[in-house]
This record gives sequence, structure tokens and C-alpha cells, in this order.
Amino acid sequence: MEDLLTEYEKPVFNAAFRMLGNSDDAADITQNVFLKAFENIRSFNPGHRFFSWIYRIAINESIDQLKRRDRAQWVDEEIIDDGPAPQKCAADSEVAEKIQSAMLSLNDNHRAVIVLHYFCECDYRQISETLDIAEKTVKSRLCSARRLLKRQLAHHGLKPS
Amino acid sequence: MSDLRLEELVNAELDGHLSAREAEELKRLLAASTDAGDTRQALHDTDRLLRTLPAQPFPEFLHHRILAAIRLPEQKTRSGLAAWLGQLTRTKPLRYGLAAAAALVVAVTLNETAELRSHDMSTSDMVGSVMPHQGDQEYSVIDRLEIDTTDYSGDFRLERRSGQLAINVVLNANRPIDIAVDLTRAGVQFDSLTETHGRLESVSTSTSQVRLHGTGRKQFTILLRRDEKAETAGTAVIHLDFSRNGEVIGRETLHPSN
Repeated sequence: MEDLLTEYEKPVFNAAFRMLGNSDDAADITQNVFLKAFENIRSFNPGHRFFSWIYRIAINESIDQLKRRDRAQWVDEEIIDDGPAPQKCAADSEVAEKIQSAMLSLNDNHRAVIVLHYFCECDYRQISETLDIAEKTVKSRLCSARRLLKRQLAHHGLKPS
Repeated sequence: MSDLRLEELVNAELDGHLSAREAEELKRLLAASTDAGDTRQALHDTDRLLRTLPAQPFPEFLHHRILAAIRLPEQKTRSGLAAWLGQLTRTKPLRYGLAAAAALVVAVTLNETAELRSHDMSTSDMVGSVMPHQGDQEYSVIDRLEIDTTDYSGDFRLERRSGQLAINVVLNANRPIDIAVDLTRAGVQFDSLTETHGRLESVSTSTSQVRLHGTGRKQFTILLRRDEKAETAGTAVIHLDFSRNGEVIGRETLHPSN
């Protein structure tokens, strides 16, 4: 179990952070994820990949936490205006905060695919397996999420250099 | 031109899923409209921004905190606080509830093989007047408090080091916790504090009280000096109050007179 913890604790924490936007909550969720994994390890189906199982727990725990916090917000596509495209490098911490803020404005489904794709390095098939949705749905949600993020980033003031 | 179709093709391009036929289609769409080029560029920039976002730094304490939570031993039988918390934590949902609470729980990892030895102290981390312990000198444990529950466990040792009293504490706090050390009836006063592992988020002290706030694994020593005016010989007691969000969750004691 410790080997699995060492291998997955950082990506699970990073995923939880990107879902929740809060380091303390992400730490709690990470702990809960591994506690649940440890307690339910006998029910893990070896036919599935461990990473998709643990990432699913992480995403679900994060979404549950968000519901408890009641902070999930929908982005209304009609309200956000298109603006100049985002071009600044994300290494800048202010930019990083804006990107995180933009991500937090996505709904849970969109945010989950973005987190799994960009921060857990999952491809369509892996995301499909983790979230138990069709690959076509993954593709569609990723496309929508990117569109919404593009607009939201422009709304947050990330303008072309 | 369909914007949605353009976006589908650009997304496929971003994810390396563009077929040769689709690549040709995308080329035609881009050639037909400068807006299409702007949309493609904006999506590429969004993708690049997400890819360059650095990973959130992993908290130093978290690995051991998780290990401690997974490996916590069976709760010891102890009257008062530990038994009460044991009743609460026997049920799984409560275990998660306590673990997930925004309040503080102190967890101290017991090191059963640790030798009773002096600790080197860093003078740079001391609060108050400084009287560092030096080398191999007279050492004894006067009283010891071990707290061991599902949510927290702790090791508090009241020690005598070459005539000076000290409370040596090893903690592993899953969440931030407040600890109040009340010396009012202890016959001793606060002298100084040394943090030997981890940094407490806040410390406030007076001659008769020490208040601490921290998260994660901490090890620190509270040095004490005798209160010459005290009249508590034979009845001296050090009170330890544990609280979360202003609510006391546990009370324990150490006895300097043991």
C-alpha cells in the first residue's frame, strides 16, 4: 500500500487541488481517497487499472466536497463574451491563479475531464474508463471545456502579449 | 462554416487525433476565414496555458499523515477522552466525518523504540529565554501522556533534564489544532519553546500558559522553570486542553509531582 501511496499521492493531490482550488481541502481529500482505497482494496477489480480506480475516487470525493461547500458554478456560455485569446505563459503565478479561477468556474463534469486530461495525463480512453462515460462523451466534454475556458480566461483578463 | 466543426477539428488536432482527411478539412476552413485562424490560435493558447500550469506543491506532512491514518493501531483502553473518541470513531461514516472535519485533531506518532535521550535544540527556533539542554546530562521522565485514537494520537513527556523541567511533545496533526498548556496550578512557569521538527503556525505564551496552533507533524519542547511563589507542592498539575474551532475536544493532565 505504501508503494501505491508513494506513486499516486502527488497526482491525486494535484487533481484534488485542481478540482477544489484549495490546498487544505485537497490534502483532506487525498487522505480520504487513500483511506477509502485501503478499506476497499478487496473490492478492487484487477481487470481495471488501478489508476482509473483511484482517480475516480479522487474525482468523486472532490465533487462531494464541492457539493458540501456549495461552490460549484455553471458558466453560462451566453453571458461570457469572446475576447482576445490568452497567450501569457502560465508560469507566472498571477496567471496561474487566473487559470485556476477559470477552472473553478466550470461545472463538475467539464472540470473533471480537464483535470484528468491535463493534470493526470489521461487520454480519452483512460478518462472514459475513470469516469465511466463513453469516449465520445469525453471528447465532447473536453471540447466544450476548452471553449468555456478560452472565454473565461479572456474574461479574467488574460490578453495577447 | 460551422464553428462547432472547426472546434471539433482543432480539438482533435490538439489531442493528436486528426486524421489525414480531417487535416485537409481543417486546412480548408483556415484558408477560408481569418476568424477561423484566431479561434484555432486561441484554443492552442488555452491548451498551452493548461499544460504549463505547474503542479501544486505537495504538502510535506501529507505522506506521513496518510500513512499514520492508514496504519493507526487499535485504540488503547483509556478512561475519559480516548474512550469517548473511540465510541465516536468505531462507525465508518463517523471516522470519515471526523477525518474530514474542518476542525483540528492532534495525532502523535508513538515511537515505541525511541530511546530516552536528550534532544539537541536549535537556539534559532527558541521563543522566550533560552536555556538549551547540553549533551549527556541527568535525564528522567516524570510523567507521560499517550493519546491514541483513530483521529489523533500524541506523546507528551514531562521530563527533568539536569534539574530543569520540560514538556517534550511529538505531534502529527491531521488538521490544524489548538493546544493550551495551563501551568497555573503546576508550580512551574513557562521558560522557552523549541521547535525541533516542523514549525508551529502560531505560538503565544505567558508565564502561566502556552497556546499553540499547528498542523502536520511537529516536535517541540516547552522548557519550564520552577515558580518560587507557587504553593502547589504535592498537588501540582499541568492541564492540556485540545480544541478545534474554539470548542474543547479533550482535556488531559501531566503531574510534575510524580
